Amino acid sequence: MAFLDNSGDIILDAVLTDAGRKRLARGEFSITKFAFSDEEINYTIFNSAHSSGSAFYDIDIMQTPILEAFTNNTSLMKTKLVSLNRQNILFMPIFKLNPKSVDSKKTAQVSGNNYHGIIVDRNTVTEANTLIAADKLAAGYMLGFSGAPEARNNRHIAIDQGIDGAGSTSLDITQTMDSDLMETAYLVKLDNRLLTLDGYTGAAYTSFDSSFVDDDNIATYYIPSTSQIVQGPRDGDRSDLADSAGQNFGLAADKEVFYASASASGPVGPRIRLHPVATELLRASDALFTEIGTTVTSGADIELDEPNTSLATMASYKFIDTVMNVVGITTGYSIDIPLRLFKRT
Amino acid sequence: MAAGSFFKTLTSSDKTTTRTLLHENIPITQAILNGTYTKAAGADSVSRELNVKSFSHNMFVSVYDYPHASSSANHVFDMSVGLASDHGLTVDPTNGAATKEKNIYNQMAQMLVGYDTNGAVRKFDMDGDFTAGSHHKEVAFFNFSRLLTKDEIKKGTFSVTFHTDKLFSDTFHSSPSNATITVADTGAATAYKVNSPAGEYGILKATTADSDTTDGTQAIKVDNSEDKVGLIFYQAGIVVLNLGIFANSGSGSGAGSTNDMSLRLITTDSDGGTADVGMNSSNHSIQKLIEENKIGAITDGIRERMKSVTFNNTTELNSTIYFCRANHNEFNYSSNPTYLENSKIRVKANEITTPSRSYVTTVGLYSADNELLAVAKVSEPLRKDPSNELTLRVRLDY
Repeated sequence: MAFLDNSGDIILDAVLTDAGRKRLARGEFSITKFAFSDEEINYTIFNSAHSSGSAFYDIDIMQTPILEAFTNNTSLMKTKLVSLNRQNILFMPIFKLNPKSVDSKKTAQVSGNNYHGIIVDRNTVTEANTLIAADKLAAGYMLGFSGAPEARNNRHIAIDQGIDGAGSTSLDITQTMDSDLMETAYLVKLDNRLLTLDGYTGAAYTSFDSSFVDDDNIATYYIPSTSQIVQGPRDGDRSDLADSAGQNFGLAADKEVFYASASASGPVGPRIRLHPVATELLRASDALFTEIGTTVTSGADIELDEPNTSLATMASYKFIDTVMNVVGITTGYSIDIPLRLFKRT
Repeated sequence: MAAGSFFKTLTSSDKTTTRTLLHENIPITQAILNGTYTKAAGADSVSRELNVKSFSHNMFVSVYDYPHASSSANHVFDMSVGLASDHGLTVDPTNGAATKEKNIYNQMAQMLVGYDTNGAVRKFDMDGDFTAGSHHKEVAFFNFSRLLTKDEIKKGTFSVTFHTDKLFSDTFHSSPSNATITVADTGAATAYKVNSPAGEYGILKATTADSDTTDGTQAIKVDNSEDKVGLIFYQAGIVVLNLGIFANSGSGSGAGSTNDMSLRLITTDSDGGTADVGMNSSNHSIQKLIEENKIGAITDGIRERMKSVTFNNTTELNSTIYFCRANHNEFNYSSNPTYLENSKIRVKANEITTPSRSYVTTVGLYSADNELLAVAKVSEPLRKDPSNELTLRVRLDY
């Protein structure tokens, strides 16, 4: 009878992240919970057709080399493992940016670009009164400065949760998403030097305070699904979605991102509506634009007015590219929303 | 744990603390101590190796492992000399060293052995019994860098070896003889003192490698290996060495005399300055070296005779171990974007009854407000499915 091999070390050495060290220095270090991540794993190499049988389905995954831990808290634990009590789950919801949840002007990305444009100050919109009052700002742009919140004209960034059941005939948009897959809260992360977070309630805008700002100036906002900026899966203009053919949803269908991507559409979860706002630092100073941004002096004019009458052509400006990260607490799904912050020079 | 969540709360039964001591061997070779680097005048105008830094205040010198002006240099230890108020030497009053040597002695004494009941600074006692006995009065201090000693020097591991050839040489490093004396805290692992305000300390004792003192090479020898020649303060990382080890014996004179270290006080110099153990290029005795030189030059004489220093350091690791437990029905799904294909779970292979599975590569430890505070990695992916449970012990060292 041979001895068992017990040479493997079953104790894992943890390293403090930079945020952990910062909290330690402030005397606020307390670990209360944990999570697991599989960020190195590429599930596309899971081979359920392996000729040697099910024991070999994940042989390639099990050989994935694991990277050493590093200390930047914002770069780790990007994809987390999720606990769901049921085993009979075949589909899981994802997040999708919805560019048409109101109409293409108010929630779309900038035409031809995969970002939302944030105007950081009134001076950038030289035709401010005309553009703002008449809501003629081109699609994809939002007024990211305070002082005229009433003139934001319902613009926001909408993110839908739903099952992207392309090709599935068993899914129907009229189905209710299982409650244990429905998002109960969101974590929104923004660069605190650049942006703060407002949300759109459907009628007005409301501001949020961050839960904390880490050492990399990333602010984290916790938004429960009970917030007014989270629209329920059967709220509002989705109330008339039911249709026996599953194809004729009228105006509402045009606003349903998961309807467009699924042959028979899929159940949807809640929708969160966000509106980043530029910080006072961005409005008052060009320092960050110089340090982490780009300066354009000619050759890349931007038409800020939707009719494109050249009334609001911006030829000389600075911009910063950043990302807003939204994570669902229930499913752990994460989506990065590209943002470009504009300031006229 | 709530259904549909990626955080799991750690309860009090999921945490424990441990304490671990780590030791490293620290050999300080002769290449660092002397002879390796070219000499140049230091801040005290005395010429010495470039890895030894002197100061205009002339209170101590610092030894580095590389020329001290280099950013690559690491501090190894400091050296200084102290004289008790009742020392028996006649220090040249014109060089200003006597006051500094007394100040150094008193400063170190008040830090390391503290005060008596009358508030007077105690002297370094040879046997650690402050109620009676002899004192170390003419001493050298070796203050080792925290970089090397870490939390403390491990008891019973310290030793320093000196060349004890009769004649001084600045080429001991290149042509060493076997004439040496070794000072060590032998037996201190199980016999040390705790009556110091600076923590635990041990008694240093000496041995000679060559007991033949008649051949003109080994100038001194140790008759009694229990002779007490110094003290070592483990937590402070400081060695107090009685400079009497370089003096001739009270019981004899000239080459081949024996040294009774426990009685070794530098009070006489029967050779009139030309000693059994020459401490500088003029072969002055340790007594004359102290009487006629400042601290920097005295430490040079001692350092040139150093052959090696070795000890083990100690790092005290306090650890918290978090037991991260994944029950059979937990963490079986993933938010990895590749986990889904058109929202369908890949690892289920189109079968809703197939158990889901996921793979753990990282453990994250979080604050109550969801900030990632620490992270640990596994060496290979760990499969997690409803048929197994995992308990990962994650250790965080402080």
